[in-house]
This record gives sequence, C-alpha cells and structure tokens, in this order.
Amino acid sequence: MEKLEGVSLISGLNIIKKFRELNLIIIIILISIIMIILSPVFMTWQNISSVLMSFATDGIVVMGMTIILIAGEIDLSVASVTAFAGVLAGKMFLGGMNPWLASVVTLVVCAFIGATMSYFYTKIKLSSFITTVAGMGIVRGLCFVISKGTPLSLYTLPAGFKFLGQGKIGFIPFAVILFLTVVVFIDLMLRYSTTMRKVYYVGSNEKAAKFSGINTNKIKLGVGIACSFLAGLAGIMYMSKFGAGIPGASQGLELTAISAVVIGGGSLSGGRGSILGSILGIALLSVIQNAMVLLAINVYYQQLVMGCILLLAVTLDQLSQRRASI
Amino acid sequence: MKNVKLVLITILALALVAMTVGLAGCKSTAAETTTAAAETTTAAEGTQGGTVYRGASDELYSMVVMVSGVEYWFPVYEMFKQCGRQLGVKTHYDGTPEYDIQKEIAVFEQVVAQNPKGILVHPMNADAFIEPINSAIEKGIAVITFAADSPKSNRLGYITSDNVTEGYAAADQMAEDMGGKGKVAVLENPGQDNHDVRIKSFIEKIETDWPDIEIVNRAASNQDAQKAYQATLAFLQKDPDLGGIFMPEATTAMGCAQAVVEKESSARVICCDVNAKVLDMIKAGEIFGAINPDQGMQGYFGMLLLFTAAHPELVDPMTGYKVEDRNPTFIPKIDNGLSFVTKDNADCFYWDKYVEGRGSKGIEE
Amino acid sequence: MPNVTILEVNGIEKSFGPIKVLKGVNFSVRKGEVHALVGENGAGKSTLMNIIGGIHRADSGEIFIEGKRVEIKNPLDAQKLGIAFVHQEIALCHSVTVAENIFMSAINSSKNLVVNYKKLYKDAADILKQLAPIPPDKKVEELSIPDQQIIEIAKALSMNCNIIIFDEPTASLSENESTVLFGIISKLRKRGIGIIYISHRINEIFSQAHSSDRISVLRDGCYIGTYNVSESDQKMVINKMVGREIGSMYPPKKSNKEGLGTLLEVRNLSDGKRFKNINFKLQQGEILGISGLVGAGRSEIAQAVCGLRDKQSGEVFYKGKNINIKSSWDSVKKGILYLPEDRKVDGLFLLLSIKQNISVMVLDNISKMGFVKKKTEIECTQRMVDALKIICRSINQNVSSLSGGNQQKILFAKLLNVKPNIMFIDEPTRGIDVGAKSEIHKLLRNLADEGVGIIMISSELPEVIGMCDRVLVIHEGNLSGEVTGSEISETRIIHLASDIKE
Repeated sequence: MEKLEGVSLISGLNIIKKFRELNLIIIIILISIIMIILSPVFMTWQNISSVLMSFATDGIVVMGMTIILIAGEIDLSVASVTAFAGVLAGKMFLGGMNPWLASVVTLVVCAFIGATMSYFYTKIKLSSFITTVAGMGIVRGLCFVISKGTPLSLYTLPAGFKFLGQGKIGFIPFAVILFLTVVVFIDLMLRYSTTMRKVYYVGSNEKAAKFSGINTNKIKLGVGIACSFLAGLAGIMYMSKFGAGIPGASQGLELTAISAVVIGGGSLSGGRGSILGSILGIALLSVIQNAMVLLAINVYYQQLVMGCILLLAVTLDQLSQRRASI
Repeated sequence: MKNVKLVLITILALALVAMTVGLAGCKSTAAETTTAAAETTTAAEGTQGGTVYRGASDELYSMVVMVSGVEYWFPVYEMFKQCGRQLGVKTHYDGTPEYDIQKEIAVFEQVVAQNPKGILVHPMNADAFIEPINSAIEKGIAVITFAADSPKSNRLGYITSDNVTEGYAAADQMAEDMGGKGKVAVLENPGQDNHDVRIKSFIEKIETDWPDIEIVNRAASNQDAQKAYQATLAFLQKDPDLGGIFMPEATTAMGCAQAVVEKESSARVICCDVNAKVLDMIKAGEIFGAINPDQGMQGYFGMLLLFTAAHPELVDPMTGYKVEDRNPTFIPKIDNGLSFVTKDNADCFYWDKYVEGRGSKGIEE
Repeated sequence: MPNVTILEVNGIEKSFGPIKVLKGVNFSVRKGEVHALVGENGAGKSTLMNIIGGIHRADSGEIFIEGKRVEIKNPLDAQKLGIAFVHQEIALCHSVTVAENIFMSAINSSKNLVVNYKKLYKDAADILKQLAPIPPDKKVEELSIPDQQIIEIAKALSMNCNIIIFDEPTASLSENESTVLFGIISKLRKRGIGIIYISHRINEIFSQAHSSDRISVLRDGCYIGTYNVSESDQKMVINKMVGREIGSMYPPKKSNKEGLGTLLEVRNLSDGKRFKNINFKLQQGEILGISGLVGAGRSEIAQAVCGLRDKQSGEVFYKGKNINIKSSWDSVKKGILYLPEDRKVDGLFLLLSIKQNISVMVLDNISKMGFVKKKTEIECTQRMVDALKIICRSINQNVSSLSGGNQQKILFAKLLNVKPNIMFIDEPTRGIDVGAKSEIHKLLRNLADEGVGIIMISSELPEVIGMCDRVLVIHEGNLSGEVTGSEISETRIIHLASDIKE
C-alpha cells in the first residue's frame, strides 16, 4: 500500500501487530478464566504441572520446527527422530553403555540425520517436504529394526538419568525447567544472534539472501541439523521421562508441531515465526486438551473440538492481523 | 461344541465371595447406618463384616484408556459404570483419542489432579506408567490396571484376559471342527505382545494336542485387511485344502474371510476380538468364529477391585499389610475369561443392540 | 471518429483508514481515444483505476458509462460493463496453453464437463490474429514477456470490452517491444476502444510511435488537469506532476577521466548458454552502461561476474589481480555488488523491516560474539535512511508497505552500507516515479565521483544516454559494440542492439 507511507497508524493496532503473541496470550487467558469458573481443579498446581509436563518435551520439537519453518523449509521427520533417539539411546544403554554417553552419541547421530537430509534439499535440490517424508519413513523404520518392534524396557536407568524427565526441583518438574531454559536460550538467539538473523533472511527471500552474500546452503544445513538435534533431545527426555524406548512413539507429532508454529504466527512459506509464539501455540493446544479432560467432553467430540478450535484460533489471529495492517 | 463360555472358576468364586460379603454387610448394618459412607466406619479396629459395601455419592472413579474412540472399551466401561452405580459412586470414562503415550499420560495425570478415589487404567506402555501410577498411589488414589499391565509399578491389582487361554481355545475350536486332522495357517502381527502370545499359544496347542494337524503357512498381515486378503489368497493357492486360518485380531479377519469366500474355500477363519462387521460375517458363515474376551467382567471386577482398594477398611486379610504399612488389597492378576462367538450367539455381541437393550447411554454417562 | 465519451468519473474520493488518497478526481475517456494518466508514485493513479476496475469502491463520486450512471461493486461488474484491466504484473497461468489463458473466465463459468480444445484454439487464433502471430496451443511459460503481455490483451479482447486499462505496460519491455505494443494499441483504438494508459515514462507518451490523444495528471490524490498531447510537451507535464520546475533530468557527466586506473577487467567471459566471449574494462569513477534488448544476456553477464551464476570460461581481474569469484559471498567481501533488476523477487526481504533489509550485507561487521549490536545497527540504518531520504514511519516498518521508489532506495542503502568498490546495477529506476528517479541518478553520479566503478544495465535508453560515460551494447549474448562520450545516441545504440550494420 504505497499510499500509507509516512502516516502512522492507530497505536493500539500497532501493538497487536508488533506483539502478535499478545493475541494468543489473550486467548489462553480467556480459556483459563472460563476453566477456572467451570472446574475447581484447573488452577491446582498438580493440574498446571501436568499440562506443562505434557508439552515440555514436545515443546522442544516445536522449537526446532519453528527454526526450520522460518528458514522456509520443513521437517516432517521430527516425530520419527524423537522416537529414534529414545530407541537408540535405550538400546545402547541396554548394551551396557553409560546412559549419559549414550545420549550424547545419540544426539550426534540425530544431528547427522538432519545434516544428511539437508544435503538432499540443498545440494541435490529436492524439496525438503519430500526429503523429510522419506526421512520420516527411514528413521521410523530404523526404530523398529533396532527395537525389533517391541518397546525397550529401561526401568534400570540410573536415578540420576531419570531425574532428567521425572525429577523435581522444589515443586517444579526438572523437565519443565530444562524446557524453559532451552526456550529462553533459543528465543534470545533467534532475536539477537547474527546466524539466526540470517535464517530469517533466507526464509524471507532465499534469492535475495544469496544476492546479499549469505551462504544460504550453510544456513539451511544449520537449521536442518538444529531441527533434528532438538527432536533428538526431546527423544532423550522422553526416554528418561517414561523409562522406555518406544519405537512407535510420538506418531503425528510433526503435525502438532507445525500447527503450534503456525498458531504462533509462523508461516509455511518461511520468513515468519517466533519462539514465544510457537510455545504459546503448543501451550494453547495443551490447555484445550486439558480443558476437554476436565470438562469430560465426550471422546467422540474431542478431536472435532480440537480441529474447530485450531481453525478458530488461526482465523482470529489472521483477522486481527489484517485489521492491524490496513 | 457351541456357545461355550469359558469362565474361569477362580473369578467366579472370587466374585461370589465378594458379592456375598457385600450383601451381607449391607444387610447387617443397613438398619443402623443407611446413608453411612464406607469411609465413616473404621475397619481397622477389627470388625467382622461390619461395614457398608457402599461409597459416598461424591466419590469419583475413572477409567483411563488410549484410542478412546475404539469400541473395545465400551463394554468394559458399561459394567464398570454398572458396578459403580450399585456401589453408589460416580464413574467417568477418560482417555485420549490418539495412539500416543504422551497424551495418555497427560490425561492420566490430569485425572489424578481431579483427585478421584480410584483409576482403572490401561497403560499403553508398562514402564512409562510406573512413575505416574506410583505418584497417584502416593496421593491416596487406588490404581488398578486392566488389559495391559505395569508390573513394576505399585498398582494394587491387574485384571486381564489370558492370551494363552485364548490361543488354546482357538486351537481347540478349530481342531475339533476339523475332526482332528488337516492343514492350518496363521496370520500374525509381529511386534505387538498380546498378539504374539496368542499366536504362540495357538501353535503350541496344535502341536502338542493335535498331532494330525499340520501348520503349513505363516504370514504377517500387520492388522491390515488388504495385506490379509493377499496373504490368504497366497495360502489358498499353495494349499487349496486348507482347513483353518487363525489370526490374533479382528481387522485381519475381514480381509482374510473375503479371500476365503472368493476362493470358495472351506477354511475355518477364527480371529480374536469382534466388531459389527466381523459379527455379520460370523452370522453369514464367512467367519467360523471369534474369541472374545469378556470385557464386561473386566470392567465390573475392575471397579470392584478399585472400590476395595480405595476402601481398605473393608478387608482384613491374614497378611502382613499392617506391619508393612500397605494397602491390604493386592491382586496380582485376575483372568476375566472369554467367550467363543459363533453363528448362534453372535447376536449377543453387537454393542449397539446390547447398549440399547440395557437402556444405557454407554460411555456418555 | 466522433467525440463520444464512454467513461466518465466525477468527484471520486477515497480514503484508506485515516489517509485520503483521492481528493475529488475527474476523468473521462472517449471512444477510440488513448488517454494517458500520469503522476508520481502515490499520486493515486492505481487507486483510481482500481475503483474503475471494481477492485476498490469509492467513498463518494459518480461513474458514468456511456452517459448512464453505474455502480461498480466488484471486478465482475466492471467486466460486464466492458472494462478490462491489463495489470503491470502479468497474471497468467504459466503451465497451461495460450488459449486456455485467454478464455480462462469463460472456461471457469462453463457448465460443460469437457473443454472443447478445437473450438478453443480456433477462437483464440481469431483473437490473436489481430494482435500477433502467437500459436494458441503453446504454453504461456514458453512465451517471451512481451508475448505474455499480448495474451493479457487478448484476454481483455475476448470479453468484448470497450475500455482497456493498461497499467505500466512497458515497464518490463525494451524499446522495440514497446513499439510493437504501441502498434497494437493503435489498432485497438481504431476499433473504437477507449484506452487508459498509465506510465512513468513520460517520454514514450510524447514519442512518435505512441498515439496518446490526451494526458491527465494526478498529484497527491488531486486532479491537476487534462491536456491534449499535441498542445503540450514533456517538460510541462513533468512540472505539473511534481508541482515544481525540474531542471536538467540528469546530473552532469564527469568531463575528465584521465589518470584513473582500471578497476575491473573481464576477459573472454562465457557461460555456455546466454553469452560468450565478453571482454570489457571498467575504469575507476566511471559509469559504464550495458545496453541491449531484454533477454540479450545483460543481467546474466553481471551475475556471472558477481558469482551469482556459473561461468564456463573467462577471467576476471580486479585491480589487476585475477580473482576467481565462485559465490556471492566472495564478491560481497571484495565490495563487488549486484543490484538485481526485480527488487521484489531478488532484492528485498518483503516480510522484514527496513532495518533488517539495510543491514543484511554488513551483518557480520556489526556483530560481536555472534550477536548483532543493536545500537550500531540502528545507527547505521538511520544514517542510510537520512542520506537517501527514505520516507518511512520507522526503521522497523516492513518494506512491503513502502512505495516502489523507497523500496528501490532501500536496495541501494543495502549495497551502500558495504562501501562498494564496484556496483552492477540492473534496471535501477524501473517502476519508480520521476522524483525518486532523479535522486537515484544523482546518487549514482556522486558514487562514481567518489571513485566507485558503476556498471548500469537499463532498458530505458534516455537513462543510458543521460547517465553513462561509456556504453557496451550486447546482441544475443555477444558484445556487438561500444560507444563513448558524444557518440552515445539512441540510434547508435539501437543499431548495435539489433545488430544492424551501418
């Protein structure tokens, strides 16, 4: 809109545009208020911590997805990689390896998987969609091969390692603390670091980024590695939390993660998205899930309600964005 | 041999004892404390049957499952609810519609946050549920597992079908009808534990008790009707005189039976579990029969176990529970029994008809 | 032809939010007339046309078609009233045939399950016959840009329109191609179609080939007046547009270039596809033009030198040293920069802010320990915004909300931030208004005076002639000639570009 130059907009709308996340916070607060009225259990610490726990591991995957979507690519293999990490680390542990060492080795392997996939979509120029669909199948297949189809029982994991997923500091689960630390770290990186800024450039306009002297392939390799690494990290936490390496775990997590990023303001075409937004996105999904349990919504309706609310949230956000940009 | 109901005597006995105790308790104290809740009486002082087998109306018992839209759970909950009503307590059906352990645990924990008296849970993974179950029990919530167990947790009981018995029953049914000789094949679903046990037991039974029956073929159909259809066609190509095919679940049966019908084979298709389609096929003679676990008993006695565990004052067994400071209720395993579904009794297994006949709203209440 | 007015608008007003973009505009088109509409960016031309085309609705004012008052609520209404719009951006479906594109809306509203291709191709051929020999069964992606534009026109004709709006149709055409287009416009006009012609190129409206009858000028949403082309001249119209006297269009060239060294030398550069055996030298402080028809390989040469495109053979010497630039980051490090021709596709990060756009190339220089130094970034952005007089609310504004001229300045700011040694600038003033254009010209000359070597690619001959010290002309990937100083003239360049031997 060339006519608008030099004219300032109404400041309120400006704030919404600037802090897109505000919309989500308002929606979450509204649902919470309704829930406090409807269910006395909602505000109990036990319930809140169970909601936090339920998305602490998935949230780490969401962050990886946020970064890769900002770069204009997609990774559909995250759920498989999450399961893979648990199975691989579990298998090595059962084979006698120290669980911490097994985890580190696993994370390196996951990063390598990410690097391999990004090789295919940067150098060989396949689309990241199809590359990671293939990756999803291959990695999930590896899970079944390694575990021979049955969940690995890791009950014997040492307490120190289990603390990662099950322990508490005071009354706060350690997994939640770890998750929040990763959130804050990556959010800061995304906002202020030079490398992450380049990720936005690449996602916003890859050609312009290349013309501006940015090594776009290097950036994409980096985000591919980051995304798989974070998925692997989630898998390690998952393993510690459940004391099991489950080959069929986390099916469909990639779609949940993508939904969360998009609810949080990310775009499938790249260049947009923030960690805070995505985390609020996954928080919104979890709060709704929680509300359905507490309100005893009939099982037949649960997925239907979830789908409708997803649509509603994204629509509301889109509408308010549109109004703010006129 | 038709319409055979193989209910294990142990459960029957247990059930009868429990009921008589309950009823007796009711009678003896009804006059004095008609509305008294069980928790008001203190069994710890050594009274003999001096309590009311009835809970307070605000007591909540929840049943938590995964893939909660699946019909298998509904008859379980139906009897869970019935028992709950007889005991005067509230029941609720909870779970995640998805096949996702993370979500199931989240729901379990959120149910715990509502502070129910007891939870009957189907843990999707044994180890993953150890910590959630233990922490619920620490909060004073009774937890019983059903249909799948978490043996390393402190759950107070486990009620399930016996997959071994199921495999045996299928083998005997098939072999008897074949007159003790011929060829059979199996379609399997490697990787899923309970299915593997059913297959293993079936084969074991055939090999030990039916010497003239030969297992000629095995294939993986992985709960996929299409794969089952193709595998069955291949079976029949190789052995047109195949006398029977066994498979450990219902989806496979639909594809398998289709192939058997098309090939005009006389192979007897026997599967485990039923659904409306399988029942129709049984009635049409396309599927010979199905082994169906007695879900209702699973729910009813699951509730009863929960109630007892939640009201430990009701029982005073000759164990060291007082010294050990633990709940006196601890039942390592109950077998809920099974039915063999055939043409003659298939009508009794339609969920819609059953629930309608009971005037119940199923899981919605 | 009688002077029948087919379209008349009176007192059109329109606001977007608090901003009034049209302040009572009057305008009319006669049957068989070419009516040029001019004004700087943001003057309200596009908004006015969008109102006539049904894309926006006016807040007040009246529209008459052949004397009858009409309401145009949406593009479909406009279509029904015989108004067709040929947009600046070509909006065709690339992977389907010409005929399918021409009859897209007919196919869309057709109730038949199957498309009758035989009839479709025949009808398309009938329409195309009057315009240009384009086979109707060819896929649009195989056509050149000018041919694609002709398809847009054919699409308009297929709807039996009486009025066609052309929004900057020559923006992406070379001189020759423009002449073909003007021929087509003349034909349309002879059929009695009223044509509204929006352009930034004032000179083409006054050119021989063009056949505008009248010209209307808008400025800041106000209607300034309508003039007969035969009774006015270029300078007067420009003065009306900008509302002030504009002196010389181009800054003076540098008279003395002795003593300045060679900055860049290209030897035998070929990419195996688009150009071959290109040799040239660039002096320090020189503006060197690369001219030629669109598609002659001009941009490709520039991109190959800057490492944005693979080269097959050839060497590049920078200050006498053979440099082997393999990637854009190599060339950026050496200060050899490329300003792409399509700013929206290759140049700008439309989703990002002015600040983020301007700092992209210097990010590593303004970072410490891997983090961007916020203050430094703001300072250097602000310096650029001030220096180039970029008009914006804030440096955090998205660049997508800026006008074309300001967007182009952002692109320059991005490059200037690096302190360039050599700049390849591809169509530096495309689609921007006269005022911004002359500012950019001044800027380029200043840079050259500071010693930067500039290579300018432009399809606008007057710009090439007005700005360049020396011009290389490319014909089908080969260097067909070089003209210097006073030799630089329109005819010389056109002859070389079309490879006409004199």
